[in-house]
Amino acid sequence: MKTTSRIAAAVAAIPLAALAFTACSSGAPAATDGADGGTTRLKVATIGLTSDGALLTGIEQGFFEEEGLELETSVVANPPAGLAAVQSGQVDIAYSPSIPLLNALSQGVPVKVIGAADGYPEDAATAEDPAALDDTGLFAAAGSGVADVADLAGKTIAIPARKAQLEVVIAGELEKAGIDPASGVNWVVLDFTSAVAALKNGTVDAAGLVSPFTTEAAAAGATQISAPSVGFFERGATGLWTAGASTVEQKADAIAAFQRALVKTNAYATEHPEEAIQAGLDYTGSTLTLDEVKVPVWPAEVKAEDLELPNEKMVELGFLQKPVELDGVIVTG
Amino acid sequence: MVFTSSIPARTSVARRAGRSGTPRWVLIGTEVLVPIVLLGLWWVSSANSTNTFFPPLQVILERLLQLVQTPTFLVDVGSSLGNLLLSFVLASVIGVLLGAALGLVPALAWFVEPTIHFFRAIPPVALVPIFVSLIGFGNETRILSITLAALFPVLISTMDGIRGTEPTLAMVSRVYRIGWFDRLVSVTLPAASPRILSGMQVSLITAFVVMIASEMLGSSTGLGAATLLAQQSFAIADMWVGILVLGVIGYATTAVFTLFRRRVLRWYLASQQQEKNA
Repeated sequence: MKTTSRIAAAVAAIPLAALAFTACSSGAPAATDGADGGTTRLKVATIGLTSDGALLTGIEQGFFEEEGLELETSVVANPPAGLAAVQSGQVDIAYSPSIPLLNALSQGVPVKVIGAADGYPEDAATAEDPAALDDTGLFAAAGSGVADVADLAGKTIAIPARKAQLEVVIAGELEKAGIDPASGVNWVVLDFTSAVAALKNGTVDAAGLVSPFTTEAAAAGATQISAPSVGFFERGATGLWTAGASTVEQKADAIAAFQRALVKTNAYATEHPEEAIQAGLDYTGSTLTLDEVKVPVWPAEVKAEDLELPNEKMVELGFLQKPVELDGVIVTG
Repeated sequence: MVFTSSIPARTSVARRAGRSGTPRWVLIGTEVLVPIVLLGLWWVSSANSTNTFFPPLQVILERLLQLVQTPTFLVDVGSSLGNLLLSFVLASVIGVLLGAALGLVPALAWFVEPTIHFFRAIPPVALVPIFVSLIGFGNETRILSITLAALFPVLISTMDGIRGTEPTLAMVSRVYRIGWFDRLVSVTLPAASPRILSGMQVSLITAFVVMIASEMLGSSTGLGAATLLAQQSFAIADMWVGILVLGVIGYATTAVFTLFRRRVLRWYLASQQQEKNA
């Protein structure tokens, strides 16, 4: 019995570790005290991206303080962990890209979108060089003979997680090139560091990467064959701030205050991108310099189409069986 | 030459006496009933659950029934179990051979032991990404990771077991002029087998943990990979099915191993019993 329980515990720890991660970093209960002009504390979970810099700059500029908010930020391992944490109320607000969010909604996880975290400019899809705007990239290994997305039929592609953002957007590119994403290629799960190493020694033919690993892959001789995220999303907000449905109900005032401050924050970051990026680099402990990072776009609002478009595409590509019901998902201030 | 047969193996007597005086049927009853009671409690307490992350047990079991009929799920279970068993057997054989060599030749042990302890101290799960970077992400990487992790407990317990054998055993077998090979196979290893098998039991658990960890990278086949994917894509019922099946496999492999151990060590358990009764 003892061994089974130990094994069960080890296995159960996989999903729970993510929750515990956020639990450790936030011991004190949220102090709510708005009546006599005090501050309300909101716990915010990010996944450690350069674009987090906008939020940090906003905190520094006092936009949240003006609204009577005190933000306590923490970093969670991945978007599913953040969504699980907002659902359970362990954190109030979490960052999630739109694809994990749609996955969660399709399974009935009660989460709402309360604001835009990052995204692409309105004219991204028609831009001359989409790669300059896209922080993700599909890279082909030097000796793989792959020069184009169409050459990827039957090849091996590394991605950080299955059924997640990068697989979905690359699947969109494969579909455009006439390759069936489900059976036409071999997907393998590799963390970004291993993926760059695998590109170098040719054990994978291509890899989907995120900045700064895109820079490393280019330095290692791999060639970028596609900017899959701009190709998939075309424009608008792709990184979202989410909150649990019960949090939105119970802390309606605080959430509305967060939304007002967020608009100011994103506007400030768009005007002072260098300050925001530097804050993000410092926060994530990155060793990159300003000119090595692509400037994120911080949209002012989340439009209905920002969710509708990926929703439709995920159904077309077979990642969702039916479209997710999006009524009331976006909560506007 | 089977020297162990000289020890009276009156297992039936030993068995009837029971290990702790509790009747055997009570022990078996507890073993069977406790999981059933726990499952029952789970069923009742989760029946009206609306929490997405803790669906009712009924939903989980229905999903299990559906999944068992899909080939992908069976391939996942088969691939994980195959890797586990192959690696465990490999680790046991290599561990016993290496351990015997190191236990019998002190000079060799003196040279190699610090290195062994260095590698043993590295958590095997941490090595998985390094192996993936070095030799790729095929199935052989998984087998290598599991085997390496499961090797050390067997290796060290074999070494210890051989060093700890009664010196008179060696003297007596020398007096009878038994060749070194017969001495190893028929005297030394059997004498060390209680410790070797304890080491193997630890190996089995380590192998199980690393089996799951090894599936986090590379192609997404295997029960661990399927469970992780289910968790990340919010297919929560599938995730619980994976956890349940992993638990059952863990329990079953341990149970089979316990039976094997009891069979191999029948003489030892009997002699211990006799000592206790004497």
